[in-house]
Amino acid sequence: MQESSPAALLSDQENKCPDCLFMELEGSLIQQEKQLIPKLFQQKKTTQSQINLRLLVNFNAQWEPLIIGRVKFGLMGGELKLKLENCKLPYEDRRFTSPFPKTVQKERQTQKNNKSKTEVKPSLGDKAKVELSLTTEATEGQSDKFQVTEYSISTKGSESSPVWVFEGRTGKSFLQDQFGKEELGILTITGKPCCIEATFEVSKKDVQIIEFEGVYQKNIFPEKRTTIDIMLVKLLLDYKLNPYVSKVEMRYE
Amino acid sequence: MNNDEFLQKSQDLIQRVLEANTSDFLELAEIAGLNLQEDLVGADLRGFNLSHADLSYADLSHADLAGANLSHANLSHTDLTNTNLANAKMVGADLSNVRLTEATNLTNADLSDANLIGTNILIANKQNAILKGCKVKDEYRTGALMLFNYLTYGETSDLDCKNVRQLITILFNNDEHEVEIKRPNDLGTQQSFHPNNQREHLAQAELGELKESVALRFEKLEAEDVGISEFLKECLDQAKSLDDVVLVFTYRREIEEIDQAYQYCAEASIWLHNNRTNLIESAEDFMIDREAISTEQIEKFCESIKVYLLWIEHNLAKGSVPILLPEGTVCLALPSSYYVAAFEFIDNMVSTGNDLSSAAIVELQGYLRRFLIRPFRQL
Repeated sequence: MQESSPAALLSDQENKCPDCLFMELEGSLIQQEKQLIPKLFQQKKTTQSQINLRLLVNFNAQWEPLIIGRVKFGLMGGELKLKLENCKLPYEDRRFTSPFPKTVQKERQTQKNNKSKTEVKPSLGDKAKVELSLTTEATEGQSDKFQVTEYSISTKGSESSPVWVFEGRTGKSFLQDQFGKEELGILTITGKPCCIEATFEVSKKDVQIIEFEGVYQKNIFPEKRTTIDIMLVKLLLDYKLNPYVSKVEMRYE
Repeated sequence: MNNDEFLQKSQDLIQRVLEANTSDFLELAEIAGLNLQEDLVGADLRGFNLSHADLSYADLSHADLAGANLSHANLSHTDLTNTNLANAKMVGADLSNVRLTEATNLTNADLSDANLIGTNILIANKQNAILKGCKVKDEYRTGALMLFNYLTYGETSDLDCKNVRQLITILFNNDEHEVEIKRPNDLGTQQSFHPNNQREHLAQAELGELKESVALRFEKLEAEDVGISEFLKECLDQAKSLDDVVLVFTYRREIEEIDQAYQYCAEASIWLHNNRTNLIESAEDFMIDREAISTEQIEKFCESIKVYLLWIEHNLAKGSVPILLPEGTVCLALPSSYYVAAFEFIDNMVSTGNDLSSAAIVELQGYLRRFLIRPFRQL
């Protein structure tokens, strides 16, 4: 098999709040090599082309200016939704590799019992819970503690509209993670033009207000603070984050 | 344009809240125009006073209500998925038909006199939760409520079953360490048919209290739950020992689909009535072919099989838990292994039973296996 350059695909991306979520989708065409010598008893491969779909997402906090002061918010989760036209992504071809490549590598070097294998096996109803709690020992016997992050990624949806659900699990902490060029799956092209639309969508539970600056005094009643938090989440959703936070469109002709 | 609107609206709302002359969350929510049913998802409500609040049907999933005062609040039909209610005060709160998951944290929560009807509190994390309101000892009180909720809600994942079992084992055994948690299907029947087992010593008074408290709860059941309530009342009324109460838990399917189960039981009963003679005759032929048995013995044997089948038929008709036949009702003509063989043969015949729905077959086989084959194996 040969992978052609990503340039073969036309792509267009829109990141409305790039600090809190930056998303990039990359596809490379896989062309089946023609078999020169037909082998007996081997299932003849179809001539269907495939696209290897890779995802890059970066979560972090974002400041949003207000008339007086500003607000910092982050995402605790959300749903990555693909809308596929003339192509499909069945469950067996869905992937999501290690969300923490660097940390895992570190762990392999330093820990004998590698307990947390972070490969996500996507299948219907499968909820891959990724839990990393690493304490690595330095040569002098000191121990370095890594940030404990816990979240789950699960997949759902039909072949033509697959969905990946990101769910932060560490109570109140928002996502500050990068998922660099993760393989999402292998798309099978069924016709042309083949269109892929990826959107990252969030709801109330996914948005976290982290702090306000210059908006109110520190000794504000918690009840007032929460009320303002809730309202701000609603307004952010209404005006900034809906119907999607990021959108990538790809087309292959 | 959109951004201007966002800026203006947020400024207006912030101003309104900051200028409000109250620190009461419910008042502030009204000032800010919050929708309590929809907007509290994931909200930080730690330590807030929400007593007497009407939060029915609210989506409180992912919300943090640790230490909040929810006494006498209406939380019926709320979504408490992943909600933190640790140390929350929920005295007298209406927690009926609430959606809980194992991620719902009720650690140290005070649920005294709370209405938990239709809520499967069993699955939540409820360490040290206070569950007062039943006229029994603390540990029994919890058990009674769990039992009640389990039965009314009918949630029957294996985990739940294990939890209930564990709880009951702890409740009804003085020394929990000696007790092995048995597989759901193994528990109950064999014990109830062996009255001389380790549970004999249990105090009747305590059983009475438990039954009373659970029965009291049943009386408060809503109209649609009457079927279950009557079924369970009957079970409890008939319960002669705590083992019999435990036995109720082997009726997982019946509890889940109680109405259908009744119908299938009735169907199975009628079928058994119509086919009893035929079944016995076939079993007779089968036994004669298999073993050398005298005519006199086989006659007595068939007579006792008939009594047992009548007993099953009678209980199937009501969908009830059979009470052990009084001693002397049946005299065993042959060793128990013969009975096991005969009932297994009948069980096999039932599985190919014509004009019997598959669900009714399951019911009938369930009765045969639980109340005949297994107990005879134990003899």
